[in-house]
Amino acid sequence: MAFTAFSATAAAAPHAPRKRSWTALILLAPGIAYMLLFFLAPFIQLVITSLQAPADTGGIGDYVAAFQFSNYAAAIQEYWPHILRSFVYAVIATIAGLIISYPLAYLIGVRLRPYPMLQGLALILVIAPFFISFLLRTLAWKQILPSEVIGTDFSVIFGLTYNFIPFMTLPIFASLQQLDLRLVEAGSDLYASPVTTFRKVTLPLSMPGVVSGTLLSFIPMSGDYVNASREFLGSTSTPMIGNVIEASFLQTQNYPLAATLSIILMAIILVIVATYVRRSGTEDLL
Amino acid sequence: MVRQMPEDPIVRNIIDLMRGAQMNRRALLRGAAVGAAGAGTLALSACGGGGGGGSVEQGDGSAGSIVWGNWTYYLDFNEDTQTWPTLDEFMAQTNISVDYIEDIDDNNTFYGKIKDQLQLGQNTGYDTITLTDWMNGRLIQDGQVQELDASRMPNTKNLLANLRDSLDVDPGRKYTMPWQAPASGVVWNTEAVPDGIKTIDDFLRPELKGKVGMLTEMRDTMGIIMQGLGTDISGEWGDPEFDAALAWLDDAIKSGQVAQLKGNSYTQDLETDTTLAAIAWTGDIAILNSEQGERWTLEVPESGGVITADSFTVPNGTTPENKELVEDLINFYYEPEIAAQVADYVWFVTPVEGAREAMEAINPEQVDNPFIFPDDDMNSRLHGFRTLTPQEDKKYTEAFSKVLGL
Repeated sequence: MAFTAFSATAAAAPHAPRKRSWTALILLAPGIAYMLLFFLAPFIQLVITSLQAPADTGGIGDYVAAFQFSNYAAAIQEYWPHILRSFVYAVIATIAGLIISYPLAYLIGVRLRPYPMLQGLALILVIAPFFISFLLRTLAWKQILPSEVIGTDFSVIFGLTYNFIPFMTLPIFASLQQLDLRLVEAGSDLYASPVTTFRKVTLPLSMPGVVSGTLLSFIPMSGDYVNASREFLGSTSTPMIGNVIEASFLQTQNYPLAATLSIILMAIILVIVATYVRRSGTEDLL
Repeated sequence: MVRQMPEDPIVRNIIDLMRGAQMNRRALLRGAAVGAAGAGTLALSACGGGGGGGSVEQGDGSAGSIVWGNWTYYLDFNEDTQTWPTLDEFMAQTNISVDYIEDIDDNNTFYGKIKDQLQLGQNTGYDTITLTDWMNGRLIQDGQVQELDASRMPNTKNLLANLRDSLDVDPGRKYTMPWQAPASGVVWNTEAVPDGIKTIDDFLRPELKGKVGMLTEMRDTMGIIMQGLGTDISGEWGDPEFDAALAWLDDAIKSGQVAQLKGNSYTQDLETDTTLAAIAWTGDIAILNSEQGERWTLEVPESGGVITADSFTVPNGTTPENKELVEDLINFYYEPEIAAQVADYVWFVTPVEGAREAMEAINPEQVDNPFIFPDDDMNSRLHGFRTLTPQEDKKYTEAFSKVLGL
């Protein structure tokens, strides 16, 4: 909707005074400066780093500027299992999060609507874990889960699901909170079964929340390196691509590899997200 | 200035609890583990010695203040008063305030955290750090640390002769001064593993599947495995010897026999029985045993353990004034009585000549402790990992990292 609204306005005012565009530019300047400083500049630096070649000294962390594009092919060849594992984990955890979050958000946003006090309390319960550090919460699960489970695919996916549930619940809640219950009522008045009403009315109207929630969970999950870390819920058989990037930056100091993998991760996420948004018919969210 | 406690008993209670939690040693260790997992931003300044509770006089800090980054379990600590006795004594004597932070979990990870500042010669946030000598060698070669002024540290004449030239890139110790000489050996849960670990193949016994831990410090883990396979790690060896040991480790990890690979936080896995047998640093186990009733047995295997030194360095970004304060600190810890007091707690080989005699008065039981004052038998078992060339360092570090799944 946002794009349509913008273009409609532009069409309605083709001869907008020149002065206005300057105002718009001035207003946009802080945002543009922010993007240049904190996104574009680091990104360019990342691209430059990703093309570096080992220095003649051959020591740890010694690299020189180059255009070694083969870094990309080598990184994919070596680390495709880690990349694949990351996305498989993220997809499963996102689906698990959705299955848990939707009913929860429905309960809070629709069923508890007549009881504002309870609704507020339920929302606080969803957000409350955020008052504790992400790392400590994850570490706590290491104590709670049986030691046989720690270090398995299950424990990592469990950790991802748990840690990102509020990111899924809150946008869906925000959508369902605005759901006009008279439309649901109209559905049943028209002899639609509860399932049909949900499918034809509630779900489509809450789709923006579902899309936002899945993206807000999936993107950080794909790049997560805490849950799968050996120090937390992972083991040597569960590292995600984030763990490889972290180890390459901090331990083996292989900066070109770390930068290459970061860019590959970013590109894959971008493609997946764009495809998902297009398919879900909610391009206006972008 | 000491602030008045609130009247309300409940609020008082909460404040007491919070203070206790801040200085609890277990919490410090957990914090360090968290830091290791990539949370470099997690500040642990709450554990600064200057902020400690207790009744020990700490001086007024009027002579300046410095920040000291160190490993966990690496300075004498009094559980009852929640204070660092020797550090407090130093602060009281000199009025130099020391912010003591135990956040080194792994040499590489810690270096990764401060490397940008080191390369730019900027302040790293630490006036002195005690990394391991092989890493200090790298810092010296890259010109990232300052030369120490020996004339300000007369006590360093007490440095054990065999440590004076033990870092090949720093003969005579111009840039480094050993803090402790940690040794690694093998540890096992005495009750669960009654037969103990005598050779590295004992780690592969079926009943220990998934309960074996190793260190992420390549030289300690690979050093013990290589020696177990018959290599003299301080002598001439090359790719075949390293590769054979790495293959042993790879098999042990892939088969699920070795399940835990950690930095300093491996002690938590021992405490929770997640790990029943492991490669470990001697001093850590001594402290765990003293806190938890002698649950573990530690030995340096016949085939050999690894010894190195963790040494004080002053990064380039530290001001000349603060470098002098660090030199005062080093000088203080080279007094045999102070060194003995630290050794009595940390259980690592002390680098200070005369500490053994001083130990007679502090704790006579420790005088014959071979982990602090190695006897001939212990000396014959402990070996240093030979210095690697930059190319070898890179190749072996990356190969080791791959075996860890990364």
